[in-house]
Amino acid sequence: MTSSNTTIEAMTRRGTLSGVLGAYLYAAFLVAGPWIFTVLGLLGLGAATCGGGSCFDLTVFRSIVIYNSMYALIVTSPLTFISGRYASERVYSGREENVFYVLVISLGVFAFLTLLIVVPFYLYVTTLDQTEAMLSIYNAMMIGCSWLCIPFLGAIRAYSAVLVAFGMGAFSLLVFGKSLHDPHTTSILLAFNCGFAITNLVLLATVVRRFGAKITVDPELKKRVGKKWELPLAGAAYALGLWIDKIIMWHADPSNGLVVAGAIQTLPSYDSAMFWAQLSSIPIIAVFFVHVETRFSALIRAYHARMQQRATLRELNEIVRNIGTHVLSSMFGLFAGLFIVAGMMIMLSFVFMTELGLRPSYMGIFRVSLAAMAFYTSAMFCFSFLLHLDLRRPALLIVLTFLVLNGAITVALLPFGPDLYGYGNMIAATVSLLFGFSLVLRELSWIHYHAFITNNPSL
Amino acid sequence: MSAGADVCLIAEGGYPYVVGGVSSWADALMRASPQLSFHVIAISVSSQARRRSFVLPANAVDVTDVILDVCPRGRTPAHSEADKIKQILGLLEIALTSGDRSTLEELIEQMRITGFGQAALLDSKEGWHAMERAYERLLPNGPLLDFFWSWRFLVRSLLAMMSTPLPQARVFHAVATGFSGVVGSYARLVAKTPLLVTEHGIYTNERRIELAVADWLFDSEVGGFDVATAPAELRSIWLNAFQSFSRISYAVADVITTQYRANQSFQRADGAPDDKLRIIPNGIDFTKFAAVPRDAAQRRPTVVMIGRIVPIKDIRTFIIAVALLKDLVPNVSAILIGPEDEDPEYAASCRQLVQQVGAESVIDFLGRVPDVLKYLSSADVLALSSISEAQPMAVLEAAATGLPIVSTDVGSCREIIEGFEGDPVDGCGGIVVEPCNPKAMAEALATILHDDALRSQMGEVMRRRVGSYYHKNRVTRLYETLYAELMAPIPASHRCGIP
Repeated sequence: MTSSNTTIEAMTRRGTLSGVLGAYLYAAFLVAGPWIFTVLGLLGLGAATCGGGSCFDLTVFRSIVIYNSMYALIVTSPLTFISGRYASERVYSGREENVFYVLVISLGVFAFLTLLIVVPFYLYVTTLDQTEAMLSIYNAMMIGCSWLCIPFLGAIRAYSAVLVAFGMGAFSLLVFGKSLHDPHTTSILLAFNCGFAITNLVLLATVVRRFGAKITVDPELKKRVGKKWELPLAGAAYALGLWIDKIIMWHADPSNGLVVAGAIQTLPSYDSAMFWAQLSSIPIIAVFFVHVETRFSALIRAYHARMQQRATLRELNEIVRNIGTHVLSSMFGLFAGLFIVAGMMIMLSFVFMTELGLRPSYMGIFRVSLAAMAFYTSAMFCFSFLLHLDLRRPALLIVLTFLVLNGAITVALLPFGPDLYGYGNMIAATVSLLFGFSLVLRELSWIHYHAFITNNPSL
Repeated sequence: MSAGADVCLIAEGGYPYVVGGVSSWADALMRASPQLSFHVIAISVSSQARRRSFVLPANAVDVTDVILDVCPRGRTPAHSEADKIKQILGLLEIALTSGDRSTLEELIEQMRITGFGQAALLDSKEGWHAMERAYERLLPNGPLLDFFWSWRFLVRSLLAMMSTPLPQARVFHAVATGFSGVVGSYARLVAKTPLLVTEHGIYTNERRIELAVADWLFDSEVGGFDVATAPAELRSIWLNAFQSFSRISYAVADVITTQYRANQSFQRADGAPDDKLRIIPNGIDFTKFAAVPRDAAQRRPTVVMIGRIVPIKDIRTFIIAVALLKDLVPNVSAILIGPEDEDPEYAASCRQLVQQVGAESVIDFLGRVPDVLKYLSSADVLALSSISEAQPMAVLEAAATGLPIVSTDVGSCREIIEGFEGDPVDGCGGIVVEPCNPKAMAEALATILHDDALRSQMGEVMRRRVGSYYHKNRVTRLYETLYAELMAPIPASHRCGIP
């Protein structure tokens, strides 16, 4: 994220409202672009086709998009964790000839896995007709492609392209949505996919424009992936951790669940609560990337610059103290911010309950989900700090902790019924935050060691 | 692993890869005693090309490389071993600052017991803490980055030396103190085989000069804006390490030789015990050089200088001296023979200086030449402008051909030119001038070039002195006697490989 941090920093330094807003939007889309786009799609198409009311085809569409979002995030995260780092390093070192090759490899792996998992699922497991199945497969590809392109754009600081891509996609989505007179699953999916296709086209065109379309094989790629094996594992653990409780819940409570197309099983009461809780964290995540991580990045850069300028240990200790102070104060500030957002969401949910797709019976889960969101997002800030310092193993430990605890505690609490729905997620998030924070505190005291030994490319 | 050798010759930074005085000496030493077999341990760094510049003599059975900046990783330490790491790093710090025999003995023992290497001692968190503590003691307020690399190189070099695969040999012969001396000391303590340390120049003095001109060591920012404490010097860390290496080598060696008397006082000052000290000069093939006829053809008065184009030879002083000399001897010609590839930047600066002083028509850079005798026979005087030397072979060889010498007062040059106590040959074979004084060198060269009789008389003195004292046969006998004295039967426990 170093290069995108520099861009965000530059945008906020302009001192204009548009600069700051642009920075927030850019940060939000870099972190959760496809997700935000999916929300826009669900809301926009839902409102356009069913006028806010319920209709079955929209439910099918929602279920398909939820499944595809889950699949795309879990499969692309290991790839994006590696490709993002690769692209950043290559751009930094000026050796960009292999970057497009890595994008092609990522897309190829994703397409292969989609053929292997998604195609048989929609064609043979669900009861969707062939057109719906094909559009569902196409939808999974579109969401995945979007996730896979974003790290490359972050590496080249193409903030305008990111904003234009998602802007154009959203606009076309609304236009297509408005023109739909027959709210059938096929047409809603088609409109949604077209919007995503336009977004992806702009994202891909930007990547190709910068890196070219020549495939130059990097024979060292396998070795590099092997050397940084923690990154794809962390990506997988991160994405699985986000979805594991939902997957468990879908299959644990079939009586309250929703089954569409014969096999697509969800639990709207749980999913909606979790979904809105996680979405509410995006403003604070944007604050983290716009203000906290950029400052952190600047301090780390200052540390390395002074080190190269032959600073004494005393001077470097001073910078390390500043980094520690910044991390601590930011963590407390962001944590407080997350709880304020959670509180606001609880109050707003009473007013916009229907618009948010919530019901009074969901409110208990929603409150727990919001608390879990505050803990989980803070834990992910710790994860981000550690990855920024290239401490891959401690970072991996945080997401693995959350994955294991989220799955285990969610299963363990199932016998206690709906009253404790969401508590597994919240307890896992709390423990992960405490663990992650202790890791950050520990590693901050070893910055010299990491700079000189762990992350020293000359060694 | 090759079969056992009689002598294991431990050479640093040179033989068989780099041409130079000590390398030529090592090659000649082995060729002079064909009845003895030799195993060479070549100490170098990873950036140095290991392409052989010498064809190994038939009695050299093998070469073992010790790469100073590549050491065993060793095992990963357990958390409970922090104290052990701290203890070993404490010993390593002593070995790099004020080491002695017991320090090395204890280090070898600890390394053997723990199996630690780079992973535990340099790459672990405890290793980092130890480095910080060493920094506070050795270079407080100095640049951490510089200290880090220096510390890392020095510790790695010690670990690399203490993991040298030792060949079977009846005597280990280190051709210097420094890294060679530490490897020799390690061999002495582990293999229980006698150690001979031969010093050509005084290692610590040579390193001091090298460090004084090393451009990678600069202290402009040392100490920052802290005026309360005296600025620490990075070069002192290196010097202390080299002095410590010398102390260790002197303490462990069975016999320490040098080539001339003046050096022994330096050795004593660095801790060499009197009863181990001996003198064995360099030897040359006197018969071959003395047989070279002087070229009587009419030619320009010619000064020849033989040596690598490197700062320690102070070629710049020679160039300025020649520029001054051409005013005193207008048709003088100066020839520089020696490779320029060791320090291309310095060589380029020398060529530039020739242009700046307008001596292009006087000075010729010949580089490496196949037959140096041709140039010696047609020269009138040999010049040597070095700021440090031991017993330069170029001077002895030129002297054997009957050339008078003008040399700076370094190493044993004064002894060679003016004679020494007990010298059977009286008289001066040239003129000794102070280092870095081009005017004095120019005047001395002019004195010899202007006076044919003086030149002839000095040449004869040189020829006779070298023939009586520096004759290869005599020197070879001295070494063979010393080897025979030191050689002991290999203990049964070490016949099948040395731990």
